[in-house]
Amino acid sequence: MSDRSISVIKGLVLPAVLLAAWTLSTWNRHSLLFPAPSLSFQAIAELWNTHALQGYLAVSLRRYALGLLLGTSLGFVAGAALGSSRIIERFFLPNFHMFRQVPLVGWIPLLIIWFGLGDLSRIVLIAMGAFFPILVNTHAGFRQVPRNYLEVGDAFGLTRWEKIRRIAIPAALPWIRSGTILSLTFGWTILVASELLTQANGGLSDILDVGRERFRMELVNAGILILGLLGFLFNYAATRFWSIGPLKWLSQNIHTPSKRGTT
Amino acid sequence: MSATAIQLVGTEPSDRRGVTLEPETSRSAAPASTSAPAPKQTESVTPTAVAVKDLSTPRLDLKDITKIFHGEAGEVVALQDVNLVVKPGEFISLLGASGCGKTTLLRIIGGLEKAYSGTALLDGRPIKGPGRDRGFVFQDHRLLPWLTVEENVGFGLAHLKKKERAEIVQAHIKLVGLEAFSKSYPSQLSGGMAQRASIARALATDPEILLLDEPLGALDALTRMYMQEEIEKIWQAKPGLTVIMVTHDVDEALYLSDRIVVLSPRPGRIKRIVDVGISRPRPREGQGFNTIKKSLLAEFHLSHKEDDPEFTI
Repeated sequence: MSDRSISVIKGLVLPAVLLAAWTLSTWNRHSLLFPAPSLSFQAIAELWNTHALQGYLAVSLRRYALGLLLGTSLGFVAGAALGSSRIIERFFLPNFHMFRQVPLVGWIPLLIIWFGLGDLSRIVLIAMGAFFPILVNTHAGFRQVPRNYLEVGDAFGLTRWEKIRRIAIPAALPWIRSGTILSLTFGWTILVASELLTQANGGLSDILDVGRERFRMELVNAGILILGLLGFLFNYAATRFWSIGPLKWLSQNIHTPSKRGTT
Repeated sequence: MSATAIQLVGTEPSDRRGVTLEPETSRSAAPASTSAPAPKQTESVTPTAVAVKDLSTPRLDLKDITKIFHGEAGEVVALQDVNLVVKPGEFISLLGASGCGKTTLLRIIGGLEKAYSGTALLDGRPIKGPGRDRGFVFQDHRLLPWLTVEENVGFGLAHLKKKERAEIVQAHIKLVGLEAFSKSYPSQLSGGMAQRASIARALATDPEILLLDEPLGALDALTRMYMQEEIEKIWQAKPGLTVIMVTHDVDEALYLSDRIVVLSPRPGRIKRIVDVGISRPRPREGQGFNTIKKSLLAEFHLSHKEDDPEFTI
């Protein structure tokens, strides 16, 4: 058995034990506050069969995707600009840090006044949540691009733009990866927060709202389970994407027979 | 050692070869000239002396190069009044201790160092910056870790069409003998292989001059010797290729160079230019080799036997 599958199994031990304990404790009796997990699974199946879940998913994922797209692309561009120009850095970095200190939910009233209670406010809020992690990481990544690599670009007569594209961005990718994964996670949190602003908004949080209003805890638990699983899935997919795609080279340090350090 | 037998710097313009050695090397001197067909030009140590004009245009012509670094500790004169003429196809070594400005001089030729006084002419045109007509190999191989060997070798060829680029890349990977590693990442290569890939990258743009900045400095002794032979082969496989190599290894300079430019530190200036008239492939010892080596080591106030890590790493 591979190391990987062993570690997956180890990771599943605790949830399996908890699930079993929960199931046993609710065996043959009905608890309003702690309904049996099987009821939540049934609720998920029911949501799926009635196509309600698909509808919630479509609405939520659209908000999430648009918010992330907006936030990460702006955050990347801003981070890259800050990281490649000292002048831009001096002018803008303190301002960015100042804005970052405002807790994200503190913007909500302002966003509602500007953009209303619709999806636009939510998308902007998610974008703001995704913006800063990728900005900070891209900036840091650009700052640490080894001068030696940039000099290789000089030796080949590359322009400033070519050096950014062909040297700085690839060299900063490990940092950019961290930024995107943080943005993804944070954005998911902000999505749920933004959805809970209004009821019956059509997104996944409606499952939680309906469950709470009708005191159907199994529905609330089902909603939490769905949000957790999806968040985990996105995080996993993003990590996999980077490690088999653009950052494949990072995991190739296998064979180093007589590699010497540089003096 | 008799002072009359060795004449390391040609003092008369008619002297075609700077080094006049004992019979052993005199015999082998003739074939050596095949690698550098033009008559050897002699340079003088003293800045006032005028270099003898050769009929062929020099590949590189450095006149009164002075470079001053302004640091926190004040001014440091890295180079002072350096004059050097390099002919096409020559293999030149810049030899000196740490801090003698040899790397600075190489960087000026490579266009990486811009603020200096004097003129640096490449094929008669002033050097304005880096260019594809010069290939630069750094001491640390500086292969980009996210690119495979073949992508690294093709780094300077982005302007070419894919097919043309692939052909040039494969030819150069073959030249340095890394065919089996073309899809490998730099972290999967040994130090010697990485430096060979770096040389291939520098040569892929078909430069007139290959600039080597202590390319073997980070390698172990055996790999170094092997790589010296490789560099010689590569140089011979590219007719007309001029090589300028910075080194602090006397043996390395002796093994590879047509001429050795000895620099002295603080301020960095040319102390002596030595014509190595030993035929190739060169032995790593022997009377001719040892005579020049002895005299070079004397420049650094070292006897032949002494082993000072500063100079014989």
